[in-house]
Amino acid sequence: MNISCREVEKHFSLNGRTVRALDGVSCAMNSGTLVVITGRSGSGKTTLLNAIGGLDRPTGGSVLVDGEDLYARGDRALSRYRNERIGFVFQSFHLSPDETALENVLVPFLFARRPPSDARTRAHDALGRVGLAEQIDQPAGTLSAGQKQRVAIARAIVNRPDFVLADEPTGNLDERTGADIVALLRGLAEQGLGVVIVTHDSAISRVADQALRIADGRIVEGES
Amino acid sequence: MIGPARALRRAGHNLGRHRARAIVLAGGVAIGVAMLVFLLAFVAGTRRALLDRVVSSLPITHLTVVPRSFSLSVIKFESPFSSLDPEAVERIAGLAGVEEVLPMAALKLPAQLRARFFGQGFVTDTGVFGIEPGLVVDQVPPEAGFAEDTTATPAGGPFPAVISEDLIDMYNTGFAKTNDLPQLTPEILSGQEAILYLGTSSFRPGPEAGVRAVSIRLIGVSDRVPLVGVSLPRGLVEGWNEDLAGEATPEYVQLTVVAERAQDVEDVAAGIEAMGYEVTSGREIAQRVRTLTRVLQVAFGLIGLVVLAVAGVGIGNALLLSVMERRHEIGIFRSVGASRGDIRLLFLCEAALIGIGGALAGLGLAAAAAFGADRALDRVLPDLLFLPESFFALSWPILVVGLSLGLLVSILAAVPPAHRAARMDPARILTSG
Repeated sequence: MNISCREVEKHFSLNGRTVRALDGVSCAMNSGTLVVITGRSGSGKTTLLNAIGGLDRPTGGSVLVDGEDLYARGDRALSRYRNERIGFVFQSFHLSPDETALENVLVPFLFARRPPSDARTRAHDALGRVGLAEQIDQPAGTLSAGQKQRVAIARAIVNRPDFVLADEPTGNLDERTGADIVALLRGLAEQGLGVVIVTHDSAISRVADQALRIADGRIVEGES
Repeated sequence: MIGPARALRRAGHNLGRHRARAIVLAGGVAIGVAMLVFLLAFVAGTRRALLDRVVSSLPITHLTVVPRSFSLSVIKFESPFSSLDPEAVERIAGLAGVEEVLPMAALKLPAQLRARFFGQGFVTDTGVFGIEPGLVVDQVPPEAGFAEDTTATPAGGPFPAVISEDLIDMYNTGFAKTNDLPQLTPEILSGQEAILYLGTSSFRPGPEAGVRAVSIRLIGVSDRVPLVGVSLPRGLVEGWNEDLAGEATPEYVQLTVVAERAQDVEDVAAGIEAMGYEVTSGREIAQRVRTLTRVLQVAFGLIGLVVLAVAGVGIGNALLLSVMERRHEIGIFRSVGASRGDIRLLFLCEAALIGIGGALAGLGLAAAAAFGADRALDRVLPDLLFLPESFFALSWPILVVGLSLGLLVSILAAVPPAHRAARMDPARILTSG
């Protein structure tokens, strides 16, 4: 799968003045590669990630998925895109703490058009892939930060998407755990998934197949 | 896309995770539904009891005819041009749709009743009425001989007599209580004999020439005979009127006209009214009862609805709060593929489950409250013969109305919060930490 951004803009009004979160961003990314987007806080990297993921409609330009304009679709089709082709990972994990790791990972199937009959097996496999086979029935709230992020990655990959979009996946982790998570995401890219990481930690760019730097809503390095 | 079945399952799962809040919300619905169903069942039960009473005392094919009267406050004047005599009976009987006419005569003399109950002497002035056996034929035992020819009975009696059911209730709740006497029942009274003195009263004490003593035997009670007095076969009373009061042509106080079919009642009533008489029908009384109880039903229904609406506002506010608390969950759901419609459906399903659970609990509460109220009324109210077994009619339509309204109010209350949840911007929620 190929995702291309063409002059993507995202403007919004804040306290009476226009903020240009994205100001004509163009870039492209393919399955099987690890793309790292770095930039300072407020530079627009998360906005770009959400635009690519079908979560935040740009105010200008276009996001093309395999050549088709993503935002020409309606809410239902965008939802299907997020369900079937994209997996999100967030800095704050966003897990239900009172539900088990398995229950958290099964959530995407709730909104699948046709949930697979082997959904639970897939969830078990996904948790196995992130190294949490032993913690399947443990409430998410009782897991360590690193384990929580692994559950979040398992949730992102359980429905076999084409891309995993990770927003500051190491932001709440210590250095060593952060490195493990980056390695895990790197491994996913090597298995054929497209992985996009946005981070303020420029060190992560070292493992990237493609590194982009964003500042003031523009790609300032690695523009394609 | 989440389907209704998956949405309901997930909604049930969510309510299970927030059990305490779900129970409080369902409790509000339960109280509203219980109040609504309790009040509606009370009105329906009261209506049923009243209609049973009306139909029993004046069956739907029966009409009561009395001379036309003019009322000046408490004083009532009967029209001299509408007396009920045998000729009037004949004219009414000749109307199309009339099956039979049952005249009721009153003794034209004062009368006094002397009896002994529970070993105590009892004297009272009384009215004496002559009724057609057909009026009470289904309420007194056939072997009691009320319908038989009394000419064969010795002049002194004993003659079969019927008294009003309401009179027993009045005695039991008033006279018996204040004088510490035992309660009377139709069974105790049946077979009791008494002496009836014709031509005397408390206002004319002392033996007097012309007073005749006859013996009567109570054979049953009826709700179709006059309240104050004893009712005997009509021929007997007419004979006494002729012998003792010199009345050559009988004049009746009331006629009971039996229509051939229920649908003939209105035409027959119109025909009799055209002759200058006043007519009361069971259907008319039943209609009045229905109208009155319908008004009550609407009023009580509105009270129940107000309580339900308050519960609905509570659900709406609690769900709104829940939307804010669960914004990250909403954001995650959107990020893994939930559409706005899916989010809306999830919240509506939660409200529906709260509504159904609350409404079912409310129906149970209403049934329990009705049972308790019946037991309490049974203890508090005097042992009246006409009291129904239950003051509540928990019929299927009332239960369905309660369940439906509980569900509807809950869903309607959830519409604004569900809409708000669906409109939330997932990108902002998920990046807000």
